[in-house]
Amino acid sequence: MEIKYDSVYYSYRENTALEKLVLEDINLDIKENKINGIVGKSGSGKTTFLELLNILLLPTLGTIKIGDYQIEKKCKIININNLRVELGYVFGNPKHQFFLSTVKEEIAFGMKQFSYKLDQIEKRISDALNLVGLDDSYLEKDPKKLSSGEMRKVAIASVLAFNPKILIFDEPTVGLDSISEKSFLKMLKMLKNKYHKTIIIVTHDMNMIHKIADYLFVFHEGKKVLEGTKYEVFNHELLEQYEIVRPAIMEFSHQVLKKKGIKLGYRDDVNDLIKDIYRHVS
Amino acid sequence: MFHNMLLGRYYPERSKIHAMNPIAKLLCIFIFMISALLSTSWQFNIFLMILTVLFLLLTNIPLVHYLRTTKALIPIYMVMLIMGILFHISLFNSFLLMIRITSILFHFIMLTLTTPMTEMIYGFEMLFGFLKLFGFNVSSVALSITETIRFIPNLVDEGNRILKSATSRGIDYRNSNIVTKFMILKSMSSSIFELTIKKSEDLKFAMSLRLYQKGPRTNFRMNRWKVFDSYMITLYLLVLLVIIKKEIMG
Repeated sequence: MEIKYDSVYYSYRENTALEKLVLEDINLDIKENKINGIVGKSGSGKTTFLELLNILLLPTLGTIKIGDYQIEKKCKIININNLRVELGYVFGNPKHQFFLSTVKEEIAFGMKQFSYKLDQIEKRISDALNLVGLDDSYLEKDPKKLSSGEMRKVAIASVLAFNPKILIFDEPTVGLDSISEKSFLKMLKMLKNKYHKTIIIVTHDMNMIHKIADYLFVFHEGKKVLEGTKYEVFNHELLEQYEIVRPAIMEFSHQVLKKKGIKLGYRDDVNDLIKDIYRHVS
Repeated sequence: MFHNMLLGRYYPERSKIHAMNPIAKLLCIFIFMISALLSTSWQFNIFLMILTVLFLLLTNIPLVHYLRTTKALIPIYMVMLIMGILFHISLFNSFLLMIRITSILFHFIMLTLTTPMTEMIYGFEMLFGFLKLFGFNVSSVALSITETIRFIPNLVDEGNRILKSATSRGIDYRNSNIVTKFMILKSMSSSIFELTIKKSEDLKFAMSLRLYQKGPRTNFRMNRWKVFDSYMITLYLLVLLVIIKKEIMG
């Protein structure tokens, strides 16, 4: 499913004294069946970008093309649920996503709106919980009273349950311990490779996005300023100007090259980097 | 969805009304309320509405923002019309009552849009300070009243958050008809209130952590009384006196 932003602008509280231009002239194509990372410092418009993508907001100017649908400022989409069922959005703060009293109701909510059958719903609730590393004992718990990591897992499960083609995550690993983060990244790779999902992740965690992303977009002050593979983006000379910190593994390689003139090569994993160092030393 | 609603929020602007002393603003509103409640003739009601609109223009805030916030009054108007029919009140009198309520509401909206919260608390505390003589805890009540007014944008924000979450999972609020919209909001109302009350409790803790306490506190704002404040109060009092003379004394 194609996702394309064409000269998109967005302002909050338009035509008031509190008007604020948040996104300016955004032109980009989300790569299908890939993991797309969106990075940038706080306030650069990333969350607004996601909300536009999920049609929670309409652009002030410009067009967003999602599959056969064109989203513009004054557009009315007939049978919008045919589009929404393909877009699964996990909020940055899971508390903002929850408004029902049990985990079971939260996970079932989306499926009920999209007219899943009751017997399917029960099964999919369990499957979704298992996928995120939780069990059925969580079903009757109040999602707002869980730990932040558990809340995030339930939020992800509530979206995975209705099987959207496009998964949108806003800071998905905040509050997750390192083991949960590893299993989450493993799950994302599986969703991409086995189920051919298009995944969009907004994050400040460069180490995480470096491990997982196929393509990156850098936002700065409401504009998209860089895009490319993670190697192209993290080696770009203007990266510091946009206040983006390289992932630790790349920063190490970068410093070794700068100070010792030794090119260690692009590595995703620390173990591979250690092997490279050992090879050079010996 | 409701992020453009400004009810209960401060609207920063440069205007005579923004610069007014909060005590003067509150006095004007109370005098206006008495005038509106006492006026029964259509001529005075229309005059009060015209006066209200003129003062709204003085705030330099586009009139469309006041009109947007009165969308919430539509159900109240409908109820008033129905009550009027049931109790054999003429449509004309119901309409006059709507004008009075709208003009009072516009004054309150003008107060919240032109007065920061701390100024409002100060205004309430000064205006009702004489009640301390009777053992009344004016500071707490002033804070409660102001928090109640500021509660409205909290409710709207929580409602907006819940709607976004529900919309992302299949509720089509924007394209629904008014009945469906009402049903959606009704089903979410308990969640909205629960989350807003939780937020109020968090605010209570935050205030405790910042050592808020009952009793006198330092006021470091320069709330000077200006000539314009005196003009406004004189004008409102004159209007009230004319209404009393014409409506009550005949």
